[in-house]
Amino acid sequence: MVDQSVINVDGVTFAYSSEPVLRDVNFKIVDGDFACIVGPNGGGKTTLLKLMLGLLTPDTGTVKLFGQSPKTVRQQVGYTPQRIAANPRFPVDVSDVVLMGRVPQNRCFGPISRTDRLAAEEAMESVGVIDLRKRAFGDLSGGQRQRVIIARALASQPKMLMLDEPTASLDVHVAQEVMELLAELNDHITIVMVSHDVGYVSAFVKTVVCVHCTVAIHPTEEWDDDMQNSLFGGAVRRVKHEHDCTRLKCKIGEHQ
Amino acid sequence: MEFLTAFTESELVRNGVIACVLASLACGVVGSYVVARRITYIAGGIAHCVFGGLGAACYLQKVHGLQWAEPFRGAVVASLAAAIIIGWVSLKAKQWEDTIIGAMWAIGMAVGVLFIAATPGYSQDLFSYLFGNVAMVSRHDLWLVAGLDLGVLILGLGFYRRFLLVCFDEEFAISRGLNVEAYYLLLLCLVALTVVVLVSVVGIVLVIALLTLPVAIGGVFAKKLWKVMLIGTILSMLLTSSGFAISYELDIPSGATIIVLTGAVYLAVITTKAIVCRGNR
Repeated sequence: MVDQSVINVDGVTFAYSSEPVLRDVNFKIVDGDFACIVGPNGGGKTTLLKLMLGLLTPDTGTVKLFGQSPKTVRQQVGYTPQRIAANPRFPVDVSDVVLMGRVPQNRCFGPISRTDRLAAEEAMESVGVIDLRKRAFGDLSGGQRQRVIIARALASQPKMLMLDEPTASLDVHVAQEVMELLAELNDHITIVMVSHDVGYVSAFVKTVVCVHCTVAIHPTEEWDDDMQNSLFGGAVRRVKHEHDCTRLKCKIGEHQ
Repeated sequence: MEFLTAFTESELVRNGVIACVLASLACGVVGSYVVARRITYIAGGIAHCVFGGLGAACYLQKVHGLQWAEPFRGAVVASLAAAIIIGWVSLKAKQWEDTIIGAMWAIGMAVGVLFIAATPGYSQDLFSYLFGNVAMVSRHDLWLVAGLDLGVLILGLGFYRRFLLVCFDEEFAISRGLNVEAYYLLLLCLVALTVVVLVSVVGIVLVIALLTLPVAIGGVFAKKLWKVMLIGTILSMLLTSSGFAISYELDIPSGATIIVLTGAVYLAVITTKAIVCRGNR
């Protein structure tokens, strides 16, 4: 059988200072997957995403993206950061933001090319923000902003989307819409996202990557309906990740 | 109008107005990045380091007879050095950024004061470096200002889409494979050169207001960065030239007049906006 994996993480350890955030992490993600990285705060979810994108380099072990070093091929990935640090009054409108996704293949000097404009419009169409294109980015609601950021990631016509907490700070209804959009996009693109909310995303996700220093992989088939219902309705607090760096005990089935 | 007569008759007055117009071009473009990226404090640090360069050049030229050490060159060297040091600290040692900028801000001034005190006949220069004297711009200065201006405009506008991305969302820019650090340092160098251009109009101490206020007014009306640049440039041209004219008519310091006028217009605009917004609710 041909290896269909698009991300291979092999024996990866990473530390910001002396204490490792991730230790001996191994997993792979296959083409067409909808993977969700979950885990407690400070468990290394965003770190893992940044390693896969080559924004960070592992201390030991290797990360391969499309079989190559992430730094060389990361332009084929559409990335959405957790939050945009820029000031809320930054003078950009929606089409400006989406066109940023055309960097660096767009031309540096001169007016925007036809190809770039079309790609940006197509991306805005596909996430349903085309009508907002002349609105100031700072005036949008949280859900609209998230859609625009996804459109920006799509504007480069990537092979994969990597999203860092796309539903954080959105209310449940809006978050559901964003997840539906991602599920739709997943028909023709691989998606890897980070979420702190394990119960909520599960309905669309195909693979759960459970991170707390080490990693466990759970195909979502393990999730039965009763479990989902209890997680949807019940408090997230009830989802206990009982693993630590030395002992991995995280099995979704054990979540009470 | 005395100023209009003077404009047609005196070369210095004409030079002054041309300096205002030239400075406004760089100011509108680079000031927009400074305000959008919120690096006003960095620009302030660079501006005050320029004083060290001016002082050192004055000293070398007048006391040691080094003719190549023109104050203008000293300013360019000091501003670029300050931009690179502050930029490097800001990228590599973010936790010290505040402290280092504050320190360089004061040390730059202190070095300038020491050099100028050691230079005979300094008091005239001191005042115009600190607070600007647009009526004293020579034709030679004007060419230098024009040269810098051209460089700043070519780079500042040429890399518009890149700078827009780097200022708006650094992390995404890195994921697109841009060398964000190089663009950031380039931007700070453009800020440095813009500061040098503006010093001839309003002086070191007042530079920050001219760099930020016209574009801040632009930001009230525009939601695209290039429009902010356009409005900022036009406003800056109007405010600096009319400030100069008022100072000429009343025989008061030009730099201070320009800044007070700019500040007054800014206050008027944001107050009006606040009242209008409340009315719309």
